[in-house]
Amino acid sequence: MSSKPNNQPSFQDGPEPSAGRALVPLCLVIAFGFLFYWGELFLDKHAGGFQQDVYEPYRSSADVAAAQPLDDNGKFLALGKQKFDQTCSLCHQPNGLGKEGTAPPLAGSDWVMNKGCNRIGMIVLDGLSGPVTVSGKEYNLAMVPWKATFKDEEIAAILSYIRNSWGNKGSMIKAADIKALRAESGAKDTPWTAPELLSRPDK
Amino acid sequence: MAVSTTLTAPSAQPVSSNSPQITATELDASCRWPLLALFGSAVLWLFLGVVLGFINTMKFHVPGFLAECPCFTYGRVHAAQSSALLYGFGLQASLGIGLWLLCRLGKAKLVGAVTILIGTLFWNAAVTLGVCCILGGEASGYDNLQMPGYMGPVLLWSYLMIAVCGILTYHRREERESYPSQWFVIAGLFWFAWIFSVASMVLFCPPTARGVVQASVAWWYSHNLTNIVLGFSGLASIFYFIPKILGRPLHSSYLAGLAFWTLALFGSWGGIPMGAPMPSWIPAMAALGTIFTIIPLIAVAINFCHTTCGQLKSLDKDVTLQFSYIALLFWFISSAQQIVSAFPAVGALTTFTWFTVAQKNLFLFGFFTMASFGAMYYILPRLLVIEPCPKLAKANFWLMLLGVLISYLGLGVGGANQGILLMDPANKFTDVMRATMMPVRVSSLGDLMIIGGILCFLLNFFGMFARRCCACCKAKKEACK
Amino acid sequence: MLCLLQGEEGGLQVKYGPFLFLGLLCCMAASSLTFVLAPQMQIGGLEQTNSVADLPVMYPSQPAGVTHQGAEVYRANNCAACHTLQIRPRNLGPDLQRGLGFRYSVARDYIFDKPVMLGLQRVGPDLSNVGARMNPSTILLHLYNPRATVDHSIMPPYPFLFEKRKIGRVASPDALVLPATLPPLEKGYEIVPRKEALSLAYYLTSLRQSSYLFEAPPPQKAKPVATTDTNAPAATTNSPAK
Ligand code: HEC
Ligand code: HEC
Repeated sequence: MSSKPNNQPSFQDGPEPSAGRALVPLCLVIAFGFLFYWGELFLDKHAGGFQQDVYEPYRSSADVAAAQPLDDNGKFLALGKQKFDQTCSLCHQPNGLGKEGTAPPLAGSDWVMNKGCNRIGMIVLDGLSGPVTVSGKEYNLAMVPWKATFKDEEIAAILSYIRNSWGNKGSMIKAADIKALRAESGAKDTPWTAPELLSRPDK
Repeated sequence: MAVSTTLTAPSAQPVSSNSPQITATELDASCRWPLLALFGSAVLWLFLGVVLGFINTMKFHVPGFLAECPCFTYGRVHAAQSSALLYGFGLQASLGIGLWLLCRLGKAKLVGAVTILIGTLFWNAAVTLGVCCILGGEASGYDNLQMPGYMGPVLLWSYLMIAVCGILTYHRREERESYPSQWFVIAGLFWFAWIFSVASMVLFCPPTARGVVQASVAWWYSHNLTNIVLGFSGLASIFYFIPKILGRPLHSSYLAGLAFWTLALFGSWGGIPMGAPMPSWIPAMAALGTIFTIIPLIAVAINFCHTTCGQLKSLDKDVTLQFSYIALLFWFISSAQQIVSAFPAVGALTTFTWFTVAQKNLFLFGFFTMASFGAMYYILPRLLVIEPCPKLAKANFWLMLLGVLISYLGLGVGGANQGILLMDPANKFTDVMRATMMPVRVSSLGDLMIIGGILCFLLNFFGMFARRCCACCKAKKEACK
Repeated sequence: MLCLLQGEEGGLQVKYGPFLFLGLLCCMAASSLTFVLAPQMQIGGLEQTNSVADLPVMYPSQPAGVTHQGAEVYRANNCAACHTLQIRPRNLGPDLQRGLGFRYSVARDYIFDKPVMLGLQRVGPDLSNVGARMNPSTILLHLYNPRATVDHSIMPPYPFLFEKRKIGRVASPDALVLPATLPPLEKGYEIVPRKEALSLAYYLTSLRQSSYLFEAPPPQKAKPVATTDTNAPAATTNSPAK
């Protein structure tokens, strides 16, 4: 298109547009201030506290927890699940399968499915260290004590939960059992070892 | 608006086209071939897109239409259509207009014409391949990002080839003062590169995101692609052409700045319907961002009320002005509708219905396509140095306007009705479905008119091109003699 | 006050390229942090969990291979253009009131989906729980010709997922039983679903969000029923192979 045809139209091109400097109306700025305030109210109502487990129509985690339609047993297990997910799951994983080098599995563990809590109750209260065989596999790690963190009822709930999840089947643990164990363990401040525990009767 | 100041101080020297250093004609000449390539392919894709869309509308009249052939089953055509319209037409048109604006406003010649041409070539090849893959059953499954993930690198790379030339042109500008349109264009260039690479990384490069994070990302991407990337491009051309053709300065660059930054900040949150299966804060944030786009809406409204006041009479003089006005109007309506639907109480009614489809179509055809047509009616004659056919342009305008209106009203009213009927569990779904068929059919009349309008543009464009070629050949022959 | 207004974002700063760039970077960061990174951190690692009502059962169950193939057919034909896979909570839409689901959908329902196709438009009904209300033979017939099961349905037929062939020595056990409303086939022929149709039907029957989870507890008041106002009568809601 180098050569120009002689009947070339000429285009009128005005100057390029420019922008004035009128200010933003003050009332607009104030109105936007109100809008932001309203936005905060909107989030208070609809954002569910930015929690992972809050969906509409619930407003907060507490609402969701209150909505759980459980009988007493179920409520107890839900408490256990909640505590477990907050603490134990860090090492034993939410699915109870444990993690190589961190913690042995709880799912399918014969320790967990003992007849009662005579042994695992102690593990949770005072911790466990040294070699231990879980589901036929040897581990040599250390677990911290939880005596100071949890109340009897909470430990009972956690144990009931792990004994009844991921395919595990076991009886419910009562707070009274843990209370007795706590009294027995007294001021013990060293973790248990597996042989020590195994010398305790399975009940 | 009591304090509203009307200080339309004449701004720093108006840039006149016959400035000593470089003339508008020279600027236009520098971007002739790249822009012709971009616009030409954009318009072809647009036509293909609406034709595909029409095939789908036909299926609501005759569900068995083309049903034997897997390539033309409704879902695949739907995905192909959105890809053709967004990637084939939308992005290429926005790139073309953006590059031209950067040249004009910065008074700099286009940098890297050849690079842009090559980029355009690859882009078109990738989109063609992508659309074929979709029809062949390779759609990715993410709305508005349906082209298979392995096309991503080619698309990104060819986009960057073009965008970088745009940025360089901006960088080399002679006129240091920026005009709002330039912000919009530059923002659009960065924005697409960013959202596209993030979305492709998260969705297609292993380890890909798990579960509804995919949906969140895909919706975020699709919302940004239309509302920000295409929206900015349309606004850029409106902000340029209305003051330019009226011959008046834009009322306020502060208001424009306010609109620009709030749109960039809040307009980019959204696209996730309330009630989506995600923790409620994610849809809530999306809804809030969308509601906050009321700020740019008001800012743009005030700005243009002051810029154009009393000038509406000059509307019928210039086809670019007509298109730009209507595009602006439709931008308002569709944004306002989007804002209203973001409120949970309204969303409960409208989400998943034809109502939202009406809004999206209005944005794409009423706003973006109209704004692009307006811009192209200004740019193309200058690139080709030949006048467009005014009759076709007029037909184009009216067909588009009526088509968009009919289609919008049909789907909008039908969709609202659908939402209201569904609210009552006593109404059977299938009955509601049948009740919505009438408005959908009305809207397909509008679609036909839109196709007609686009066809007019296509004819006009290629007619101009052909006449120009003839003229050139004649000139050459005479020169030989 | 005037000074304050003068400082309003806009004109002055954006004169300079770098400011424009930095400002844009902040905006892009804000939106991608909110909608990409934060969701990924919060729900990107969701795992199976025990359902509230029935603790030993893990939900969602790992999908079978066929289910995945079916989902691929669903994706390839973009059924999501007309169907959604999400149930909204009671206050945000009439889904539960219409009996489209047992409870609202939550992020955990989709952890095994790739891609997740929630859908944005309901030309047809939501499919999150079709598995609870349709059986595979109805689904197959419906796919072959939606008008065979629903009057004036506007869902397109998918004949290419089926094969018309001569009946061999024994009729295929999968062959469709065409209702009398359809024009009869030529004698000696039968319509047999292809592999794609079978896996798609399998996938659809596997769709069921019925386990109550901590984040989606069962509704306290009215109990929703998953019988629907669309196709299958409630009596035939049992899904097959599971
Ligand atoms: C810091 C990581 C950690 C935390 C937190 C933790 N454990 Fe452990 N747990 C371990 C380790 C490590 C072992 C194995 C110790 C060894 O090798 O001697 C273990 C062993 C056990 C065992 C016996 C072995 C088996 O797998 O059956 C039980 C039961 C148990 N933990 C329960 C719990 C409970 C209940 C909690 C929560 C209150 C909990 N753990 C919290 C690390 C942890
Ligand atoms: C053009 C839009 C459209 C497309 C595409 C579409 N459907 Fe449908 N679908 C409908 C409509 C409308 C209905 C309701 C009427 C009916 O049942 O036929 C429906 C109903 C259904 C039903 C019955 C639901 C119920 O509860 O009764 C199933 C199952 C279904 N579709 C599956 C699919 C699958 C699988 C695909 C993809 C291969 C698909 N649909 C594609 C529109 C569509």
